Amino acid sequence: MIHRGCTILALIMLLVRPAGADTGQLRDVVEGDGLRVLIFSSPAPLRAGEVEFAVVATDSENGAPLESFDLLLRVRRTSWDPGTPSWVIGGEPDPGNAFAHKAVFDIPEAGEWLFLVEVSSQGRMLEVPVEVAVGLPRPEWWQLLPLILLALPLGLLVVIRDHLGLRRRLGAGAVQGSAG
Amino acid sequence: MSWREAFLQASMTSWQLELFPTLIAIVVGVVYIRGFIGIHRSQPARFPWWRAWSFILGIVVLLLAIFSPLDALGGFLLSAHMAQHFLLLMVVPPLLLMGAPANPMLWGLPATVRTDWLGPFLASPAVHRIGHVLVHPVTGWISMVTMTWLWHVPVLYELALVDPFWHQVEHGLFLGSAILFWFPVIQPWPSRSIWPRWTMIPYLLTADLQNTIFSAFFAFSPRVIYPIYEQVTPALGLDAMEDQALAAGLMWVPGSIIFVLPIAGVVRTLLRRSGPEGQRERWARAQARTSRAPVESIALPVLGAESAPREVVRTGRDRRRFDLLKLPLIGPMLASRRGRHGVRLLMLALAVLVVVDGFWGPRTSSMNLAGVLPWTLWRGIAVLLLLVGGNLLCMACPFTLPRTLAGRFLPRRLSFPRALRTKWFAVGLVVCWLWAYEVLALWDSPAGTAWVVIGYFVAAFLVDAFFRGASFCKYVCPIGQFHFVQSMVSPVEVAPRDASVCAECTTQECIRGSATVAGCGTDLFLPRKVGNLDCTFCLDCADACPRDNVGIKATSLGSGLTFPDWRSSLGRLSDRLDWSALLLVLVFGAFANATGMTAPILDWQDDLTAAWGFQTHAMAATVLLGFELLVLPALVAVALVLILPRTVAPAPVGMNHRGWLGRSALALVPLGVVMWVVHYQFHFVTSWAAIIPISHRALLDVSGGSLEGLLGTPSWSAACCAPVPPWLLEVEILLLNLGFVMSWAIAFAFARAALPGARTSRVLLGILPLGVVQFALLLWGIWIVLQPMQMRGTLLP
Ligand code: SF4
Ligand code: SF4
Repeated sequence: MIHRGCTILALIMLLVRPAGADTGQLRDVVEGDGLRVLIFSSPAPLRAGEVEFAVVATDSENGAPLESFDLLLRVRRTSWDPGTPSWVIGGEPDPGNAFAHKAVFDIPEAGEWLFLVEVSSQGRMLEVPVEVAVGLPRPEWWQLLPLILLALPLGLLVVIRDHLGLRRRLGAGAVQGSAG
Repeated sequence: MSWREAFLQASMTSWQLELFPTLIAIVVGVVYIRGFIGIHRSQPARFPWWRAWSFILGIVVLLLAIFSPLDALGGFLLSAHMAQHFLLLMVVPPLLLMGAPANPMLWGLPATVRTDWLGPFLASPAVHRIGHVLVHPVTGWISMVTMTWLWHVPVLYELALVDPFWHQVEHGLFLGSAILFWFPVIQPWPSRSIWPRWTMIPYLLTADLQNTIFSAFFAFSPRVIYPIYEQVTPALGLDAMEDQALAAGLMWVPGSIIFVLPIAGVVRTLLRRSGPEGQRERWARAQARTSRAPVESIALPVLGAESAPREVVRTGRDRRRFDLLKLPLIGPMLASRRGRHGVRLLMLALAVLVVVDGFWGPRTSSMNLAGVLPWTLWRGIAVLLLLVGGNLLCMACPFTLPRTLAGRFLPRRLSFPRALRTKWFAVGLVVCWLWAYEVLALWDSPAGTAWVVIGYFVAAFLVDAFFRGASFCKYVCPIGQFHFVQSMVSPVEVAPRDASVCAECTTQECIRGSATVAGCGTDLFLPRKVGNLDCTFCLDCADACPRDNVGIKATSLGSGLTFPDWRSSLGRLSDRLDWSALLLVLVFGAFANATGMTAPILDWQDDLTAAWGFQTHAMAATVLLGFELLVLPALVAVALVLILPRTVAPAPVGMNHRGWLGRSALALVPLGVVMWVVHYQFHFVTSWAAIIPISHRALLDVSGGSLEGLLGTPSWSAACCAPVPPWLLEVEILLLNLGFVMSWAIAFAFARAALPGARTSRVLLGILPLGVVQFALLLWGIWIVLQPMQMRGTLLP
């Protein structure tokens, strides 16, 4: 009975969605050459501008997180002209998450992009191509909008405070229905 | 390395301290402890120390939940994420509530925030009604259960995993709803239970029941509920199903224990209340109620700007008010004449260094003391000091030393010419100062800076050699005017410690002077002095007062800005055109000065210069500054003066049109202040390190290179390319917002004073034109901080 109830609940709740983790949206899990690599990207969805690729590498034998490994990102447009060099970005350990290394790249424009994620550790090497669709950039102020507009609710509080003071002074009846 | 070792090492080193939450936690903790200490002294039985420990532990556990390795592990293991949720839902809220935080937090806040800002809200019946609904057991139960289930729906759960913003929202809602849930259970003092105490038993039991269903759902689910863990957990060599079962166990067993434990407490209370001990307690409480006035009543004066008396009348002694001169170490140092002279001499030594290096050091300003000491370090530190400590900068000013010197050897009998005893001359100098800084690029000219310092000493000496008092500071010095206006927003001022002592004082040495010490050089009479305008913090008044009655005291934030009436030595500020002009020039100057370093404006100036066929951008910068400093403020002033008397009402005190001009100028000051702070902090934060290689270079120069073997060569990379910290932009926008709100509050207070009994909507509409100007300035400031900036004070071009 409990089993069946749980299954029904699970079916209701299991809607299709992008997989994610605290390091961002999970892009791929790949195994090879003794390595298992998890690749995450953020923000979700990706937009032109600064994006972060976080990579977790473990030993494919026992799943032990690799203490040190090298991360290299080669980035280019999917419709790539072989004459054009790729951007190459080195990764570094994530100071807040010792499982992950991260690399930050400023995507110049929207479109289809190819990220070649190269992970190497103690002679083992794995290269994973990740194709991503990058949306149009958002202006910098967009992200800061809640902070920018903070003045409005705070300003409203000033008005409400005054209104409450007025009610206190004059008595509630004198200013009925006069909320600012 | 084995799996266990590697996993533990990675987990234990995954700490992520974030600036804002940590700062907020520290501020909350400090406010709580500050209030708690006072309340503990008066009511030790009700506020034993364990309550404070509980609250602090609650904050520590909260920080652990969001910054500890649990957060990083939560991306890979459901059990870790559940442990994090468990702390936020079941551990942190009870700990915080057991600290009975309401009263300690209130009493820990500055009095002005408590009474002027929170007071009206706390006293409002509407807020009481909302509070009553929020802490109702039904609200608490439903909100926590809803949040628990809602955020574990996979779509939302994984949204929180992918997007840090939603992760924070999730945590905030968990914490908020759990506080509401635990509120009726803990019932922190002074709240009263809405339902009888016994109802907490079914309240907790039903919550435990839903927790059991919730946990069972995870424990008995035939599959991994969150697909992300199906991919991620096995990569770490762990089984996702086992991890899910562990997560369920965590919620189930410790969760049930935490729900059931308080039931034992409730039962114990009920048994005690029904026994003879309970009857005795009830009787004692009834006795106390009839014999004692309520201890915790909060005075809630609602301060309207012009509801203040027509003249400032200080009454009584407030020992609780902070006094900078009573602080250990720093207080005696500032209070002593020698101590203050010592600080001035130190500043004099720095000024000499600036002059010497300015003339004989390198031509590149970011390699020269004259480039970095005054324009980056001094300005950055100055704006902060002015904000928190009042006009301490004038106190430390080395330019006052010539006055001291002149006072010793010259008669100094002349009065400053009557026609010049206004701020108009200073307004002109402020405009010239801002123009010279931008057009002559003083910040980029070590020799120019050295000349300015020398010119300043000469001017200060000449004025103070002939004229009485502090004429240079009061009527001439543009830096002094900047300090006066910036420190209007500061929460401290030089003021009498006990007004009743002044009321009985007949000798009034603070203004007349004593046999050994001159009285106030700027003619401020302490009992009638309001705010920091024209006060150089010289503390001559403190030295002269024979009753040791002068301190640097805390004051209500912005009280010097909202006072409309007669002030000692200044008269009625809002009626003085010269003061209004000075305030407007300094407000618009803040924006103009910062605008001049943004990339689009520099590009525009280059284009204009090329189009006009000039070699330098001097003409383009002059035109722009002329518009920003003179034309724009004048247009705004005229518009407001024409509109406000009509939309609001005639000014209630003083002249009508002039009065509204003065009030408008005062209501813009906080915006100007924060713009200066934001601008100078940007330079300070990005370029302060330049002083290291510059001092290094100066030492090598002085030693003729003989110290090079010992010190090595300067590391010029510190004078270049300092990255802009990621938090800076957010802090800048936050500061601009706070400046806007303070400005708006002042404007609204002025309008309310003009329309004392009018509807709030009427006042709001009346003052809207000024609000629009303030909002436009806010947007101008935000536009500035979003632009690429010229990295002045660094080796970058
Ligand atoms: S001399 Fe001292 S006591 Fe007398 S008025 Fe001045 S500050 Fe007050
Ligand atoms: S003497 Fe005058 S200027 Fe100096 S601190 Fe006292 S009030 Fe301020």
